[in-house]
Amino acid sequence: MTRAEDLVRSTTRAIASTVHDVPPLRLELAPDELRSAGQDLPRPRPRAGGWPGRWRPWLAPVTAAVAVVAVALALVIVKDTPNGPVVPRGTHTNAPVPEGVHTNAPVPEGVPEYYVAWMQADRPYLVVGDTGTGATVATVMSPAGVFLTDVYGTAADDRTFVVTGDRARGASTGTQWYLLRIAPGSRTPAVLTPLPVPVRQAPAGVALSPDGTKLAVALPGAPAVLRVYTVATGALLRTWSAPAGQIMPARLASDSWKFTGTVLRWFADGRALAFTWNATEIRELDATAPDGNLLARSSKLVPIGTIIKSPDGTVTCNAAQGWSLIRGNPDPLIICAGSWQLTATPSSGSPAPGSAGQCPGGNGVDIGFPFVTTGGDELDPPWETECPSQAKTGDGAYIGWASADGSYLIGSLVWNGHSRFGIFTSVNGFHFTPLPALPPSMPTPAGILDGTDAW
Amino acid sequence: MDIADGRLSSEAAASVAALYAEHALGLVRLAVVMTGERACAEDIVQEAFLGLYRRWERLPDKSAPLAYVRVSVLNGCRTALRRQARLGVLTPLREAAEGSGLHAESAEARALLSEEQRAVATALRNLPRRQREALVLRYYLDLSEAEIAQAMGVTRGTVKSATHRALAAIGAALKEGSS
Repeated sequence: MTRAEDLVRSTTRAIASTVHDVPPLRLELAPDELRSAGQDLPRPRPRAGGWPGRWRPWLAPVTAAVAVVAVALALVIVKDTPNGPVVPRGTHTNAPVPEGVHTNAPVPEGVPEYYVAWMQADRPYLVVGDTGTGATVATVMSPAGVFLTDVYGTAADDRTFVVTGDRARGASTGTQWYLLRIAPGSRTPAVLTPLPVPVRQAPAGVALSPDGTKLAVALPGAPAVLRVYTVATGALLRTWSAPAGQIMPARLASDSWKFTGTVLRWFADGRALAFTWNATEIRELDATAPDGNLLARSSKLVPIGTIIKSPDGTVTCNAAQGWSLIRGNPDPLIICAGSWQLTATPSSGSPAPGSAGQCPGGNGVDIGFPFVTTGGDELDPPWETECPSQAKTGDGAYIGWASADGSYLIGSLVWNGHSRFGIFTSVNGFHFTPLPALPPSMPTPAGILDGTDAW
Repeated sequence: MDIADGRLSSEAAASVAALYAEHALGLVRLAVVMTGERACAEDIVQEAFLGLYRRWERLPDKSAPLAYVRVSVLNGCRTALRRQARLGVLTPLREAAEGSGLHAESAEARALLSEEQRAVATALRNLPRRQREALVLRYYLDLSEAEIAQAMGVTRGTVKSATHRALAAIGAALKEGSS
């Protein structure tokens, strides 16, 4: 054995020897899996009272205008916890839903018909799928010598996606950029073409403008750099930077890989960007602002990762589980994946059954998709309640896609070991429409938010 | 052992639990070596066993579940490493290797590593993913070429060439460090 071999052996064993024990195994299955396996499980307790009664009157005009909703996707959790059989548009579902929530709403117009899922494999590939049926429209393999890493969506046409990959060898190593155009029903339902974006670093965040013509790229680490390129030519249009601080939605430590990758987004009008800053706030930036200091050119929208106090509770905007933007009037609104914590019995009376106040000590947590204003107010009622003793790893609300006005969202709720994936809306009353589970990426890193599926 | 309220079958639960009891520590150590992050490694292994449990009835070869879990752990490590690379996360292993920052695990690892071993740790981190996997499987787990090829999903020839190149890179890094 050579000296190098000796050293590799001793080094790896020394590092490994720092682990002395392991946590207990937890074999938890989602309700649908258990039912499909013949287990007789209780359904989740319906929420009594419904949400409308919890909407604060002084917020009603705002909420009515915005028609909140929420969505999310605990991608892998969802992938591994199918919502049962495919639910055709407009049909009823047996998915567990709170009282007062209708589930017979059809998949509405405007909700993206297609998604692109990144599939883990020795050579990762992409699956283009039908949102409503789960049917595979196309499979896109990695280009030769490239390890596909991510896919980004949000172009308004629902036909244009940006894909990144990594090339380890050759003349042009580093991040490779591609445009994925889909044309379901045609002879070539998906075409992957190189994009001339001159960024070889792995990006911290990517956002395709709603018209599909511009690409915003955030670079990882410090100094923080945010650039905008043209999709057609890769020409640099704008660049902003800050000497200290990072563009990131969460402090990443032990669970750094549990991450949606929602780092920056375009507003629906394509004139402004929003980005997460230092895991403490979301900032708005005029995309036409001159090059220069990133912080001087932008302004704070809302705090994230911290508790925002409101009149009768507190809410935590969890940007690491996804977020979206609404151009509200007069101020922008952020849809957070978040949790709502009652800190005192509401002054209007006893806490509603099924609310956080019903948990022992009144300290339950409601998981949902709160709207947060620039003033830090929480606008949206909770979606599901979880008492501390019921909490499980991976519980939360996860946002995958949201319409421009926030009236429809695709995403997931994971609570008390249950999960629900589909379309959430509050238009004409709260509705939830389950969607087929996304294709499972093998092996399933359940509980991880990949951020590698895009609408 | 906390086996939650749902069981696909008592056989599946018992088999997976037994496998976990026997191999979880070794697999977490493997994931720590690959990712440099303890909590991440534990999650990877936990999810690998959960995946095994979910697919127990569909496993093509129930006599070799360890191979399945090992592949799952490796895939989980790849995902974690891609995230770390993309986000510029400074892992405990990297901290230990670069001698900057302190972390519970990294401090212990650093105390255990000689200067030369730190150089090897750094060189390991800088290897292409396939080469690093080949080295770790060969010299940490003592797997055969055939077993490594199976775990990595590549041919034995690829394992040989990846190992050769990785050792050459480690040797070059050590030579550079000593000059």
